[in-house]
Amino acid sequence: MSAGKRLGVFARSWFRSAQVDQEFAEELRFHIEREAEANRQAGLPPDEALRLARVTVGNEGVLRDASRDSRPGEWIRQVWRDSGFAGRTMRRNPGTTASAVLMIALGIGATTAIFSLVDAVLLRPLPFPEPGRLVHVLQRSPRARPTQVTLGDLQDWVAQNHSFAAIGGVAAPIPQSIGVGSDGEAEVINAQNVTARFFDVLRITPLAGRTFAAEDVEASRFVVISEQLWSNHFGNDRAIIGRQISFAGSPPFTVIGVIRNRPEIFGRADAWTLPPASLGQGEQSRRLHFLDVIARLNSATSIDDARSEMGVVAENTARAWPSTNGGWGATVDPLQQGLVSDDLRRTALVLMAGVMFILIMACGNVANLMLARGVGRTSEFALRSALGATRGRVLRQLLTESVVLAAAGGAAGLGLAAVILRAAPSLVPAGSLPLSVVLRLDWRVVTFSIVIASLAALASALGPAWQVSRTSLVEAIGMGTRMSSAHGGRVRTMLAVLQVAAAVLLTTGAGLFVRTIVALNKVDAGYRADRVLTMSIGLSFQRYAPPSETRRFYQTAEGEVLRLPGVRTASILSGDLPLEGFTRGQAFQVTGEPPIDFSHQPVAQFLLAGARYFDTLGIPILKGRAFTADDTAVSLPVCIVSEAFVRQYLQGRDPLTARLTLNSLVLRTTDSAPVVRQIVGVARQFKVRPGEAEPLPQIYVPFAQNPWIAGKIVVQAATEPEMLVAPIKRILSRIDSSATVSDVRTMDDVAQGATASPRFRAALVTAFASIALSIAGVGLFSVLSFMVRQRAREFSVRMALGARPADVVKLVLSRGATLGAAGLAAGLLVAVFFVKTLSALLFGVQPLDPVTFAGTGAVLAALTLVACGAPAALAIRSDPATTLRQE
Amino acid sequence: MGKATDVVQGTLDVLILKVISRDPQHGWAIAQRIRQLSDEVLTVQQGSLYPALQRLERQGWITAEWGASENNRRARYYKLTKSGRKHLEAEEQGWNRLSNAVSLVLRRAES
Repeated sequence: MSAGKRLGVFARSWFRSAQVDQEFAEELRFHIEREAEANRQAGLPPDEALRLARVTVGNEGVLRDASRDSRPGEWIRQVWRDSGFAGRTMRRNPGTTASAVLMIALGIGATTAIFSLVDAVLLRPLPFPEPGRLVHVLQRSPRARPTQVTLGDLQDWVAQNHSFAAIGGVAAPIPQSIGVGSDGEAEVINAQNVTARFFDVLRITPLAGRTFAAEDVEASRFVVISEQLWSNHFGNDRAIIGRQISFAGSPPFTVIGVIRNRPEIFGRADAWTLPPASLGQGEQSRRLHFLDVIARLNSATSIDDARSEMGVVAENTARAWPSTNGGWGATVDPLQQGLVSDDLRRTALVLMAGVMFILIMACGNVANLMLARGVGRTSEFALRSALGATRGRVLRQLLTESVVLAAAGGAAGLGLAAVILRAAPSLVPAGSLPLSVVLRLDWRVVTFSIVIASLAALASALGPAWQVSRTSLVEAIGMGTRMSSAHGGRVRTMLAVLQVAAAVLLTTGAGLFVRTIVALNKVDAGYRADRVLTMSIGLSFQRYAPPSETRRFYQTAEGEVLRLPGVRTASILSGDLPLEGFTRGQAFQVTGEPPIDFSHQPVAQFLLAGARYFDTLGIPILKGRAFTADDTAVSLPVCIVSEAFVRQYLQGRDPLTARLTLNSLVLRTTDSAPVVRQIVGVARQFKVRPGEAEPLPQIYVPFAQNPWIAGKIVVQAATEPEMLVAPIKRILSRIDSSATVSDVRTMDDVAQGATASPRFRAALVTAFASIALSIAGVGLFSVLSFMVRQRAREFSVRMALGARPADVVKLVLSRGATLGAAGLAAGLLVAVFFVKTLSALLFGVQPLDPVTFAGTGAVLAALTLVACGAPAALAIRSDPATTLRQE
Repeated sequence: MGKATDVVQGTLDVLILKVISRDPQHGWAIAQRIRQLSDEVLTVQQGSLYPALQRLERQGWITAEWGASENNRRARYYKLTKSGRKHLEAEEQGWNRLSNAVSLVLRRAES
């Protein structure tokens, strides 16, 4: 048959269904009459002939349905009809419907929001062409610590490797003020040093002009700017190429290009310049590790090939520069892995697991609700079967109802996820997500939630479907609701136990995370600082190239801040504050011991501090003295070391008699020479992270003896530290209007920031656990109430025979306790295996922490008691006379 | 006469096509003819007959139109189409081959 005709038949049966039905009815009527006539001719009386004919033909409705079923497109019509019916059923039970939709919405909303995190952290490829070929290359110290790369080494790699199509390095962003905006204030942007092929590695193409070429040198003073800077600052003017822009305090740069999507990996910047060539020359430059290196693998090269080749290249370099590179290797890892910390990766997985439990429990509750309603609908389904509905037809109707529920819940859930994601940036602690991780509701996340919603629909239809398929027509009609409800009851009991088990699992996890926070908060970080304010200062490299200029700026600033009213004490610091992490180390040697090559020298945390620093931050000097105003550029070079330093390197000798040999921090590598410093004091060890495993040796050097361009002002306020921010900023800009201020925080903020990720984790998992507990509580409650209603008659008989209310309550309680205990046992058993996977995220608490496990048990016992309350009350309040009469 | 057997699904189609191959027939007559021609061995349930007719009609092997019956009532008559005739021939050949083969096996396996 031609396609056209086929379409004609389809159209006729689809659009003119009523007429087709009517014709079919007429055809059947003729069939019955003809059969009856034949029966009459065979000698039967007319009545009997007609009756027999009807019996032979069978149920007209079944025949009509069979005829309809065989029509093309009929299933669409049926699904449509079923959804209409489902809608009506749902409207008739607004309470059940609302709670089911709410359950699914909660489950899907939370799951979707967390999935967007997992997607961003683990799944979504980096937004560059062929992201799978991008790698992160670092140097590996003799102590096997991945370390940033020196410019000299990067140049060697570029010259010697055959694995990479392109290699590029990028330094940390530095705030720069560019010109004066319309409001009269200098605008501060971030600028980054990148090597020439950096943009080629990422295949970033210019919007206008060009990016750097291999032959460009720093001396030509070229700059590439971002589209954002171009439009905010230069009004999208095409004539920008070739124009000059200047950062305050430095000779102007010539703009050679504008790029579209700025690469937000390793910091965010709006202008890129080449690093000074001097940083890549001579042996001294090989001590300055300041670049993150990215590379694009050749299409024929695997990451393992690249690793082995880079091993050879590193060995060559070590032979050429034994004193700085001996024992150093190179690491090559996928770039995506390099951008996301292990901690974040694990957190994302734990949260995903937690939220999946919630979703599964929510589906369980929906199934439970449907089951409960299914009990009431047994007769409806029996009637449908009697009227000729096949089992498949009834199941399809149930599934349709679930799909309608899940569609409503899923839509609400997506809305909820959108709200959560909009609020997320303010909830997720700053700095815990890498810049490349952006949480958003894109098609990947939406697809995920649709898939999840469909699974939820299927899962929540399973219980009722099982119930229907177990219930035979005879049972349903002959035995009333008792028989079928017993089936449903068993499933619901199982569901409730499973929910309790899942809640136990989540509560255990939450308990461990909360205990971790408690342990972290108890940690003594080694300083006492109330009302301490800190801020970071950025200065122009050109203007402050001579160390004397830097010294003068900071000493002037320190002096003026000290004179501000409301300042108790203040100091300069260059380096990491307590609990701020470890970002600056310096190699050193104990003077007088056998000399060690620089490449193998130990590294200590390196702090350049003013005389009042120890006083300002409350770091006690345990032995010797603090720095004083007499420690100047021309006085005896001195230093102070920490307790861990003494333990590790000065065992068994008086630290105050020891001297250290170490390089100073200098801008021009040619200025660098080893300095011998007398140890004049031992300071209390401070912690780099609250949960640090090993204390880090620390060396303090007077700022006056080694001024450094990037510094912090640390101020102890007499009253409110926040009130000092504006006056201090005024002082700084009066001394140099191009100085930039960033990271204005109190020490409390710093300490909070240090525990932000574990707190965020604990808060989320605790929230999940509370949701899980309430779902499990509702599950227990509904199973128990159901039992009380079912056994109302038994209870009445008992009470009529003289049982006291306490006996009945005991019955309900023991049932509840059995269920709760079963769930608790199952949950704890799984938890014992599950918590081991959390150990990397815990601090100060063992995975099998007895307090947590006991606490979980107590919470569960309380929950069970609460869930038993109302059903028990219902059981004793029922009047025996009424109950007995009802049956 | 043996016990009446339900017509096996699949063979019903070819029986219907054969029964209406000479003259158009209505549903009742088709069922009757199959019963008579099979010496009352095969019976066609109405629950199978009408869906089968609709299926065949959809496939374009038969067409239906209303006409007057032998007792002068309005009845729906089914008629073989050209492509239906071709299909019937192919099915008949296939069926003959199959039933010959089956009886061959039955005969030879005995001896």
